[in-house]
Amino acid sequence: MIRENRRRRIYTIVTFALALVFIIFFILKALQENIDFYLTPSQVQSGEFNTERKFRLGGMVKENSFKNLQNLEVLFTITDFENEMVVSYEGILPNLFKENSGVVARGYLDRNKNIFVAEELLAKHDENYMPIEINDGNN
Amino acid sequence: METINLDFFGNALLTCSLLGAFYILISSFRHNLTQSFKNTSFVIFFGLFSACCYLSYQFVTDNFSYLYVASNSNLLLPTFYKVSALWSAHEGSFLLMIMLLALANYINNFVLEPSRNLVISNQAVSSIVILYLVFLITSSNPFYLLNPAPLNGADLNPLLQDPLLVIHPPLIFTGYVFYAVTFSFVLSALINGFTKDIFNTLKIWAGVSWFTLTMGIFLGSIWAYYELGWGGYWFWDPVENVSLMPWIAGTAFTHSLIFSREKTLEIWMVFLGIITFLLSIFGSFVVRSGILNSVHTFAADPTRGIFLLGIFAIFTVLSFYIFFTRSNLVKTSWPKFMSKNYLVLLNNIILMSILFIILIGTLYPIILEAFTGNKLSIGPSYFSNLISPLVIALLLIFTMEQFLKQGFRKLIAFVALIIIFGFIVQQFILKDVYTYLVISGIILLSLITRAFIELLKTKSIKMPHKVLGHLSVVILTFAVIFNHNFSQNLDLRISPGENISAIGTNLKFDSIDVVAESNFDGVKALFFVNDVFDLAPEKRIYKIGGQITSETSIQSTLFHDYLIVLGDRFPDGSWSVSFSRKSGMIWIWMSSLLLMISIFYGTIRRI
Repeated sequence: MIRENRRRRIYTIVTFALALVFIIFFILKALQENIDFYLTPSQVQSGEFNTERKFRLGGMVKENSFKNLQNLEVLFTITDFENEMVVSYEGILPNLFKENSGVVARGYLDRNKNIFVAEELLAKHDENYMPIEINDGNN
Repeated sequence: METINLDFFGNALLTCSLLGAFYILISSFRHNLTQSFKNTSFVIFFGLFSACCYLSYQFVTDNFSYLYVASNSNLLLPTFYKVSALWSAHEGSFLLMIMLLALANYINNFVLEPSRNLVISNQAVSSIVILYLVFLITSSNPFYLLNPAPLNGADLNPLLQDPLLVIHPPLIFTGYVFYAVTFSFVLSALINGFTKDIFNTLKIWAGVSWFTLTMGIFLGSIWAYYELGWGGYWFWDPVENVSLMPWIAGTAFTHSLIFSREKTLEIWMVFLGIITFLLSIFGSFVVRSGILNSVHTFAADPTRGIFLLGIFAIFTVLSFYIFFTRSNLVKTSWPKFMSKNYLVLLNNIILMSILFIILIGTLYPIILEAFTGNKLSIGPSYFSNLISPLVIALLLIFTMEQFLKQGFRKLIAFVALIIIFGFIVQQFILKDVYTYLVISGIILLSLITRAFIELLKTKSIKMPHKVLGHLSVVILTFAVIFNHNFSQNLDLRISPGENISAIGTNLKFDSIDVVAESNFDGVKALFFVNDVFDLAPEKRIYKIGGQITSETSIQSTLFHDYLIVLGDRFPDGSWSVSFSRKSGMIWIWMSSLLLMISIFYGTIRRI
């Protein structure tokens, strides 16, 4: 009986160990594939970060930069008061989107036109929200 | 000159409960181990209950001299929301949470016979109450008085002005505090030994907490779908994740109670009980500390975060200290390979893996930012890619448990293992949704067939809650995969009177009108879909605070939901709108309801 219990113990512990190894392997793999860095225009232009992949661009919408090109296509500039970047987006704008207000755009950098093509604008933040780095700069 | 003072009556009530909790804690160590705490636990509960009523009364009578009322209510707010504003922000919701914990403790003392287990449960719960109350009084006191009182208050966050949000947060808290009670009995089992009595109490409390938390998450999900207005019901937002983690641990815990029959791996059950409780405290820490920038974090204050983290650390250290000193890993009996218990354990492991994936996905950005200063976010596909194969494995295993005898299981175990692992690996390369749909479809059909055959043969179903519960999880999985892959969305620009064909439907923009309510102004549009039904999305601007919200209009049909969100008006009078067709939404809600029914039945049949 003691022997039997011992064998069961080994089976169970092996199951645990296998599951652990397996999960950690896949988590690491998935983390590599699904991370978006959150960058400001200055960080993008500094060239220190990998901008080949998709990332999130955060900053303030520059005053008088918002243009409606055609249909739902819009063009605006995101600034962190040091550097700025032109962003294009097609779709419905979030409620809190306005000039001189914080915004986070998710998308990729079009190197030929030097335009950030946003696939998603984040609207989750309240009116007092500012991308943190800009806030740090002001204080 | 404006001054801020403490309100006497409210704080007196809180202090009264605090003293009561101290009394229980101290006297439980001194006197005989079976004394009754019925009266004292009632005093604690009553003090907190009165404090809640007292604060609600200030809300209803618009007494803006209370800081908490002034910052979360307004003269224009409908009375219904004035009452619910009590738990709309950090202070009030914490007060409500402690009140519920005290209520649960009183119920225990009222219903259960005094016993050594009850004493330990009382000790655990009253120490939690003490820590929470000290936290409430010192760092998030809802009873501050403003002098002079402002004439009107700031508004309640418009996103919270929704009937669903009136009940969703308290339910989540209730789930959390019930898990604290469950935890207190897990501790007493660990200290006094595992008896039949304690397992019975544990099964009831585990079921009650599980049910409450399920319902809380379900309602939150419905709220996100109907109110947040982007057509999603789950965003893998950190705040959602931290409520899902205790739920998953709780699911594993409730299932591990099955081991009690054969006294297998009791320490694993204890471990899960502790983890569930710790995750629920961790949940309130993450939500309330402002560590995340997310829709749900309405209050942000770092001192609170440190205090809550401290409470979390204290409980972690204490409970694991007791766990390691009292449990004996070597002497426990282990499940037979491929027996029923082994399969339950296997599913427990899968659930814990899912939990681990969510934990890493939620914490990794925070930890990395703390150490390197780089901000990053983890996309939803991290979660769905990793979790979907595990969920399928979960379904396969519990289906196998229902179908096959142990000898058979051993034989196909190795085959199944290879196939499952093969699938997981394959999913990372192919990501073929149809494989998932087919597998979950087959599981669904076989479970239904089996239940039918059993019903025909014996005119009854053994353990109907188990059969129904597992069936509803399969339907839920099927519906979620279906929804995830077949929903469509289109942003378009459309003028009043215009007809557009999109996503297989004919959309007509009929008209747009101005609407006015006591607390907001807005516009309301009218759309016809296929000339069968109409959709009337709104856009509102709230009078106080000026926040703009979109009210999605949703029409549900058996297979698809149609929804429209109103965007902005262009100078030429046209509007940007987001039109979506979401598949299988009804099935997601229905299966969640079935799941709740089966949990409910599985729990009350023990009482």
